[in-house]
Amino acid sequence: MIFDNKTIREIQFPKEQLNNVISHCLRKLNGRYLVGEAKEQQAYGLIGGKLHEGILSIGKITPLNKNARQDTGVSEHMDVAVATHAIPGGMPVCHRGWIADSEETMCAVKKFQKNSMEMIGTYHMHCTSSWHGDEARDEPTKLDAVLGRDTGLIMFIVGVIDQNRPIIRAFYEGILDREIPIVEI
Amino acid sequence: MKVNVAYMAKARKVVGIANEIIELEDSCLAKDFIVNNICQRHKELADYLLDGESSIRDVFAIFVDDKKLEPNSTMSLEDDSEITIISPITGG
Repeated sequence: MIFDNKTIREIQFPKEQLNNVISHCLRKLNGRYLVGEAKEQQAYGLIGGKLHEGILSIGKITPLNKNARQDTGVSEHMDVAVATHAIPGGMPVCHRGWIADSEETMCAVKKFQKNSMEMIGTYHMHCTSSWHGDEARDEPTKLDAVLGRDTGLIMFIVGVIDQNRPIIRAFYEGILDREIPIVEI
Repeated sequence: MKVNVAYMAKARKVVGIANEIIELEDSCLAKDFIVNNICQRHKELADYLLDGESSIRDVFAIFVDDKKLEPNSTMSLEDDSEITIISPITGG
């Protein structure tokens, strides 16, 4: 399945899966870490779904435990991208951002395929401490657009300023003007 | 023998297809298949996948069935092997 934001009229996101995304983000935000999980205020996951007649149906979300930020050949590229494009924040450059672990990714892809789905996107959280400044937390940053470029994936941004009212929005390849509407079902 | 190749993320967008089945006369090393077959079919992918010495860059993850292909792997392909090529998946 190859798609872009013009191929998709809307994303149908089941309430249960949406809640799973939000509870993953809030749990990490509040420092309630699972055993074996990256202990940092960053939440990242993969999303599986199906496209039919312009409707992208989300079927499964997979929170990722391991941030391969330090231990892959991608790290150096990430350091440069963060140093060049990220909005300054309190966290050191070498710790900012998330690189999906390839084994975890492959495992998620297999689970999606087993359920006749494909990996259609990723999600990650923006919270107050993600960077210094007033930029909107529910929109992709310049860094997001750089990292999402040409991936063919939808980047779901979970903006958490008020923990009682998290906002989730979807952007094809992390591009601000290629937003796809989400309908909760 | 047949080999099924799946492309993920940027690898998929660059190649323009999600997957393909490639026929081979004989078994070969998986890494040789990537360099000599896949990268010859998809030159635009080779630009991302290979370094100047035609070795596979470690930024890409390649799996043969469920096993990750390591740089010095001597893993061979068999009939119906499934290769998955995943470009980096990252977020800010």
